[in-house]
Amino acid sequence: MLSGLALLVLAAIHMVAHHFVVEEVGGLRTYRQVLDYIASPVMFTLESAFLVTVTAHALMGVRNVLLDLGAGPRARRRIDAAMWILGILTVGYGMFLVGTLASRA
Amino acid sequence: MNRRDDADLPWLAERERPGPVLRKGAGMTPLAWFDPRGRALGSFAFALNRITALGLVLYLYLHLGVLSLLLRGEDAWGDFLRLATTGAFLGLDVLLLFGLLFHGLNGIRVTLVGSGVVPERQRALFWAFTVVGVLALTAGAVRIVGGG
Repeated sequence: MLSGLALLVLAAIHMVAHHFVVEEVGGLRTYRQVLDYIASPVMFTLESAFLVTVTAHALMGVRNVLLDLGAGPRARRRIDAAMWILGILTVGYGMFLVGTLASRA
Repeated sequence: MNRRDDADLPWLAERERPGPVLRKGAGMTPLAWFDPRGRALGSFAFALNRITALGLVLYLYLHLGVLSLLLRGEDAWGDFLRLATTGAFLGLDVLLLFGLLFHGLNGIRVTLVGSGVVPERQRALFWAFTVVGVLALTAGAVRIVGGG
């Protein structure tokens, strides 16, 4: 629930920043605009927080759906481990992505 | 679901035990949430909430994949932008906005009801948030497709 509440703010910022600020079709940024955007310390921090929060929220949701399939204790442990690994990989790759792009600005 | 006589329910003793509620007794089948036919409004919202959730998870990984094009430079991103600004892709953006709005607003509704703030008003909240969602979706769609 806490990740959901945080996402209400972070997802709203993300959507507005990417679709309702830029004066282009679809609100999509050009390559140079993306680099300038992510190089801003405030936006870098907010996007990083969004990445961590949305990944946690998404994988906890997937876990709930999988547990509803009637997983036993052993399967439950495997699901937990898989979600942790997937979450760490997702956040790790996402941080590599935004860090690399910010460094190019 | 049809009402059943309590005496018909198996594992009644299991249901009475303290602790986490695992699969106690004859509940819905594991995938029953996917089929909201004949259920109350709350079940319909629950099913749609999960469908949008799974769609948004899929989108999260597609999004990371698409953003990886940025690592390949300006030309690769420019090629993607030409594709992403076609009508079909902008339509998918509107679908994404629908998923976000429904999932987010339904999440607020469930939080308000589940936390006891307005426990008796879940139907009213559903319709109120539906109005908010339709207005936001319409404004967003005009903005996305209209191109500012």
